[in-house]
Amino acid sequence: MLFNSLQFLVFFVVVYALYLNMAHRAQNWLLLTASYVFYGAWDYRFLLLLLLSTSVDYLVGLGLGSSREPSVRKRLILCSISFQLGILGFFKYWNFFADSLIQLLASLGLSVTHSTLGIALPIGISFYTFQSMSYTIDVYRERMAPCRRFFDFALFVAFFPQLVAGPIERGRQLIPQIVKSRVVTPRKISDGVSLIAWGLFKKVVIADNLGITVDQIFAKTDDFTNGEAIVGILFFAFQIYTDFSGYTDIARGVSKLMGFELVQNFNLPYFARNPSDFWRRWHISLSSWLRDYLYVSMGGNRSGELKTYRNLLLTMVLGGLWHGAAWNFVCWGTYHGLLLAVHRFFQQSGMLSAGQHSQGWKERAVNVASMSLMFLFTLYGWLLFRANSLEQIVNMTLALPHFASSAFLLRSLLKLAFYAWPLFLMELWQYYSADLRIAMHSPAPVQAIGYTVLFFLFLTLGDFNGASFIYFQF
Amino acid sequence: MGRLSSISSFRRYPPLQAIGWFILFVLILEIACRACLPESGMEVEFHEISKRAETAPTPTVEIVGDSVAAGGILTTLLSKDSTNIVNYAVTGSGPAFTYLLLKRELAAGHAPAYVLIAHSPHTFSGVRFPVLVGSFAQWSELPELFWNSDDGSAFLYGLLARLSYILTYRDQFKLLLTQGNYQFFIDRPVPRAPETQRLAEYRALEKTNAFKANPLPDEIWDIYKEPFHVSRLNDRLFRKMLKLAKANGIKVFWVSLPVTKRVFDYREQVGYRGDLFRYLDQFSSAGELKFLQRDILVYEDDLFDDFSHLNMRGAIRFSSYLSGTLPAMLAH
Repeated sequence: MLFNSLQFLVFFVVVYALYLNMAHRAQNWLLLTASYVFYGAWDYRFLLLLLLSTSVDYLVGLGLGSSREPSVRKRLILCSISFQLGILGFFKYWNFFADSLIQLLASLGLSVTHSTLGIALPIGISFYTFQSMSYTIDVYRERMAPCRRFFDFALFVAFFPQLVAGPIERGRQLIPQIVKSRVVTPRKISDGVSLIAWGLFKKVVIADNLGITVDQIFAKTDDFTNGEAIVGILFFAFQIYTDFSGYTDIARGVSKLMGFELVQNFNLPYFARNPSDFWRRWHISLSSWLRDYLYVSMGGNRSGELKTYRNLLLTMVLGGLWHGAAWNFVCWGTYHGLLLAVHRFFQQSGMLSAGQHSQGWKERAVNVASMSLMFLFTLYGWLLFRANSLEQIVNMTLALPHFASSAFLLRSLLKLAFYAWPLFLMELWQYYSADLRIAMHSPAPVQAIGYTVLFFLFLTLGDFNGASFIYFQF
Repeated sequence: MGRLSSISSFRRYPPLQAIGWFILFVLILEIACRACLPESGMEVEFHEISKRAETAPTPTVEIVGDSVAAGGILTTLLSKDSTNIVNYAVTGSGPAFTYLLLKRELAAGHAPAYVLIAHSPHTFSGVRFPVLVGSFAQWSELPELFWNSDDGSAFLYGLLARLSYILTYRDQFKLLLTQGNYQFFIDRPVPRAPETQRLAEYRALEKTNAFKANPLPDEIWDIYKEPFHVSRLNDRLFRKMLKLAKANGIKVFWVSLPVTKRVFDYREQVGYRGDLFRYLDQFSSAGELKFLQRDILVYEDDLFDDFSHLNMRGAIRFSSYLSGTLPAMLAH
C-alpha cells in the first residue's frame, strides 16, 4: 500500500475518521492494528518476523530495566543486537555474501555451488530493526526508561507512517508520544496537510517523471555520450532526493495529522557546503543513528586521528551496506567515508574554515563555490549508488570528461527545470530565509495560490501508475 | 484524546485559512474549466446517445457496441423495409455501458424488441473506469457499479475524474504543458455526421475514384496480441444485461465484427476465438443469446481505417452482408 495510491487514501481516511473519535488508549490500539494491516498488505507472512523482532526487544528492554548487574545487562544488549543484526543479515545479506564468496572462490579456481535460498526481503526491515536497536541501546545506556506496555512498544516499532522507509525514530522521542495523550492542533493539521501535499508533489510529479529518463539511461551498459552520463546522474540526484524526501514529508504529515511529531530527515541537502554538512542534511535519522550507535561506539574521534579516520570510513562503509546488499552500495559508502576523511584532514590542518552564513560578498562567493563543489561530489556518489554494474560506473565515468553541448543535454536540462521549478524556488526561499516553514508564514491567499498551482501540476503532470518509493527496497 | 481543540480557533489560524482559500480556488478553477473549455467528442457522444436512448421513438432493433460497431454497421443498409433500426454503439464503451443503456431504456419505456450486440471482444477485458464512472454512468448507477467491481481504486479514480475536469482531461493538459499543443481546447467536438451524409460523401468519392484506404501500420497493436479475457465487472454486468433482456422479452443477438487477416492470425495463435466462443456459448446454451453472425469474417486490409475500424467501403460490405441475415432474425 503505497502513499501515492488511492488504497492508502481510503485506508488513511478510514483510520483517521476513527482516530479522531477515540480516546487515547483506543487510538493506540487502532494505530497498532492499522500498522499491521498496512504492513501485512505487502506480505502478511513477514508480520510474524516483525512481531518476533518486537517481542525480543521488548523483553530485552524490560530485562535491562530490572537488572543493575553489568554482565547481565551486557548479555541482554548483545542478545538484542545479535538478534536484530541476525535477522537483518539473514534476510538482507545472505545471498549477497554467499554469491560473493562463490565468485571469490571461483576466481581462485575453486568451483563451489550453493542452492539459493530464494529469500525474499521483508520490506522496511532495515528501518525497523535499526529503530528497535536504538531503543535497546538507549535503555542499556540508561538514556531512557524501558517501555512497560507491550502494545505501546509494538506501536513504536510498527507505526505505519514511518515503518517501511523511516525516518528512523528514537525510542526516547517517539515512545513518550505514544504513551501520553496527543493533541491535534490547527497548526499540526495545516503543517500535516502542507507536508503531505508537498511530499506527494515531489514524488508523483518530480521523482516519477525524472525516473523515466533515469531508467532509460541506466538501462544501457556502454556507449554513453557525455550528455547521457550527465543527465543520468543529475536526474537521479533529483529523483532520489524528491522520492525519499517526498516519502518522509508524507510520513511526517500523516503523523502530524494524528498529533505525532517525527524527526526531520532532510534539511536542504544540496545546499551542503562540505561532506559533514551534507550528512547533517541528508537522511538525518540514519546519519545520526550511525553517529550515535556506531561511530561513537567505535570510539568516534576520542582515540586519536588515525582511529578517527578509520571510524569514519568504517561507519560510512557500513552505512552504505545498510542501503543494500550490493557492491555499489559499499563503493558509495566508501566514497562518502573518504570524502569525510579528506574533509576532516583539510579542516584539522587549518586549510579549511568552518563555513558560516555571512553577509560579505566574498564569503557568499566562497559559500556558493563550496556548495557547487560539494554538489558535484554528491552527484558522482549518486552514480556509484544507482549504477547496475561496475562496468556501467566505469563507462559513465569515462564519458563525463568529454563535455560537449548537445541538443539532448539542453532538452533534458529544460525538462528538469520544467518538472522541478517549484522545488528550486521553494528551497531557495527556505535557504535564504533560513526557515523551512517560510511558506507557512506567507498570507493565506498566497499560500492558497501555491497549493492550487501544485494541485494543478499534480493532476496534469503526475505519474499515477503508482511507482514504488526507491527507499522501500532498503 | 486526540479531539480537535476548538473549531472556532481554526478560523483565526492563517495556514488553515489557506486550506479554505485553496478549496475555494480549486472550485472556481474547476467550474471555470467546465464552463469555458470543451468536452471531448466521446463525452458529447455519451450525452447524445443517453438522451436518444431515453427519448427517441422505441426502436425495433438496436445495435450496441463500441466505436467499431458505431462506424461499421450502417442501419440504412440493414433495413430493407420500414423496420426501425438504430445504432447506439458508443465509442470507448464495453458491456458495462450496454447494460446501463438498456436499463435506462427499460426505465423510460423505450426498450427495443431486438438487441444486436456488436462489441469488439477486447472490450470485455478492461473497464474504462474514468469514462464509465467518470462520465457515462448516472449518479444513481454508481453504487451498482461499485458493488460489482473488484477494483475499488479504479472506481475511486473514476469518481474523482467525474468531479474534476482537470483530472478528466489531464492528458490534454499535459500535452498543452509539455508540448504547447492546445488544439483540444480550441476545437469544438464535431459530432459524428449522420449516416446518410457519410454515405453520400463516400459515394461521391467513389464516383471520382478519390476514395483512398488508409495504409495499416506494419506492427500489430499490443491490444490484439492479448488472449481473450473478461473482467469481473464486465462479466457480471453482461450477465445482468442478458437476464434483464430475457425478463423483458427482448431478444439478444451477437454479431462478430470482421477483422484483418493479421489480427485474425495473431489471435488464432493465442486461442482467442476458442475462448471467446466458449464464453458466449454458455449464454447461448441458456437461451439468453443467439448468434446473428457467429463466424469472425476476415476482410482485406483496404476495408479498414486501422486494425479494427472498418472504413466506409468495409462498413457497406459488412452491413450489406448482415442485411441478408436480418430478416431471419426478425422472423424469429
